[in-house]
Amino acid sequence: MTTTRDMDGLFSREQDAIAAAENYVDVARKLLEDEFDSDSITRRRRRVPMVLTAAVGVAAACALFIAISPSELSVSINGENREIQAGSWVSSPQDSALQLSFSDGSTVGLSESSEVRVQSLMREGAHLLLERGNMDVSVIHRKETSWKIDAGPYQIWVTGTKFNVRWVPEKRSLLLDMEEGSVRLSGPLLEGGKSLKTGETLLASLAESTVEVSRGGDQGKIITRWDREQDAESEPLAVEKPSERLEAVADVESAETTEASLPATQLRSVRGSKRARTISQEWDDISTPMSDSSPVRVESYSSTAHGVDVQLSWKELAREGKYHAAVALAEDAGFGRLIASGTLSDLMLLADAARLANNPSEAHQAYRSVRKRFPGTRQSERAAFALGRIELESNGNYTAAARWFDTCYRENKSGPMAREAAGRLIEALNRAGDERGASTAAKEYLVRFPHGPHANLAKKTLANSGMNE
Amino acid sequence: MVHLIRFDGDDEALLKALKERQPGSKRALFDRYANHVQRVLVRIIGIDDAIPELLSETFLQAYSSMDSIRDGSRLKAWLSMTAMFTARGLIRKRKRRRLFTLFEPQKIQNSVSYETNSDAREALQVLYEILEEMPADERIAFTLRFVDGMRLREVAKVCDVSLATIKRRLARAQELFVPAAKDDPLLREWIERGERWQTT
Repeated sequence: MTTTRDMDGLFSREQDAIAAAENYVDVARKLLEDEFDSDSITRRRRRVPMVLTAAVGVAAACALFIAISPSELSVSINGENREIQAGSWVSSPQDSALQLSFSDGSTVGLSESSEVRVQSLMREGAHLLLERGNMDVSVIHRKETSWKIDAGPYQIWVTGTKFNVRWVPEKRSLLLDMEEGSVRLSGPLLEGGKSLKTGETLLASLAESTVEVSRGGDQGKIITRWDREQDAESEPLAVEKPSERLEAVADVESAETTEASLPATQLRSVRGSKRARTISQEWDDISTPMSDSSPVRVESYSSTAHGVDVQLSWKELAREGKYHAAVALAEDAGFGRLIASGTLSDLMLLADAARLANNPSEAHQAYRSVRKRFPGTRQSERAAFALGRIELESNGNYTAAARWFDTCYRENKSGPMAREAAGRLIEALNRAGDERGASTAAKEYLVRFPHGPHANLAKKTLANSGMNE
Repeated sequence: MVHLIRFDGDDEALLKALKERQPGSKRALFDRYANHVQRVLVRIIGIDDAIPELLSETFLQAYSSMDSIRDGSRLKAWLSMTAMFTARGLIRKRKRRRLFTLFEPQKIQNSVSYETNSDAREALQVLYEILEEMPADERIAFTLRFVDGMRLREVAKVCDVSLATIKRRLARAQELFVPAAKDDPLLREWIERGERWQTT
């Protein structure tokens, strides 16, 4: 569920995360390297091939410019005083580490083959950018201490602590291991920010859209796991303070023994429900314990924070993004009757709510009803696509998924779902082991959408089948 | 191995350094504002393979017209405007190209390199599919206001038009966007619940 506030920034955050992972700035920097060293400022049109790479290039040395203000920290490397200033870039050799020692007593240990840029130096602290590799950070706490570490797209605010941070740009993953004190983080997948304290470890993977926090020396003990897709689909409640979600972890630990006995497909829903109970005291969510086969249900729903009461209709709950509650109420009202006689917009609303509540079975029924009762409509196209996703992602029925994506695509080749359906078709056919079908779909995709999001998949498919042209 | 890079002080000092063609000044401008310019471009165009080239093109344009800026405090706003014009040029070029293609028009794509898609990512694709059909000026105003969240006056400055003109463009953009977006649940929720929609 996303609040009004979250909705406003939802798409820009998504874009920023993708743009950071795509390293657009680094590619542009490479394109401009010659221009940077040119003394004449003239406009040239450049036509260079695009090269997307996750590695950061090595900057050439330039003349020093500004004297360090006496109020700024000074830095030595391995005990030698060097003129490190804002903008300095430090890289450690492949076979040895470096230690940066700051005049406030703080130290930063740079492991082998690591690179850090000093963004700024102030009296109260420093702002560093870990461009790649591993750093051991030990910041001396004083009243006004204020340090900031950037690692890829993540930002870590430090007031006095020891931790290890690692950023691997090729894998787009961040590891933060707290030895002492606390830090505050922000960045992709950490909406609202995240605090970490002594003994906690955070692992964020942009490639997989997951964040895990574990506690203590037991690295295998995940105290909470947040998956972006799962969170968007199964979060039953509006989250006023998303940062509290990951802080109140005590209850989640007790859920682990129960979770261990549940089938994997149910596990995510359980975690979603359990997380809901740990959220802010403003919310009063009552969940029934999950059975082995039934999805999470919310038996009753109330929220003093938003004045919602249980008399709300399923439609109103669905429109507010309270999908689990909406589906539960729709079931009470007679799910079968609703899908047999509801209007098109009600039916789509119900189908979407069931899908977003991670209830694929009921979503499937509702979408099928749209297809049957309202053929030829835009909603019917969308229903075909949604059915494809359910078969692909929830049911693992790749052949059926391919049929739905193909249907969606062919029903309206110029519709808004066409490109995505064509791409998913390739994926489903690959997974179904239909090499010939996948190749045919890939060829058509590259003709129609040569730069589409599934173009790489299409090319790989053709290469694998030996039909690359 | 330590690589030392020039630091150019505040924007006034940086502008002065750029006008004097001081070594390292162009790189410093890029380092300081690349993320911001990228943000403006991505909002207008969407996620697209062309973003790095647009980014470099924007800075090239900036380097070549540095003499036209008198006040260093306007550096960032001026870069935003340059980015907007660069993006608009691409939008118009692609629209013209589509008029002459035999196949289905190539849409300005969201070149997402991930195979997994969240609902937000799908909605983002639908969002930009809809925007692609919009006139360039309305699209730019729309993305800066509703996707980025820029205030109206800031949008007007970036687009180099009056506040009244921006409001007219936004009104037209909403008329085009809302009916087309209502089929997608996340876009519908965005329209119904996003605070920015209430204050335009």
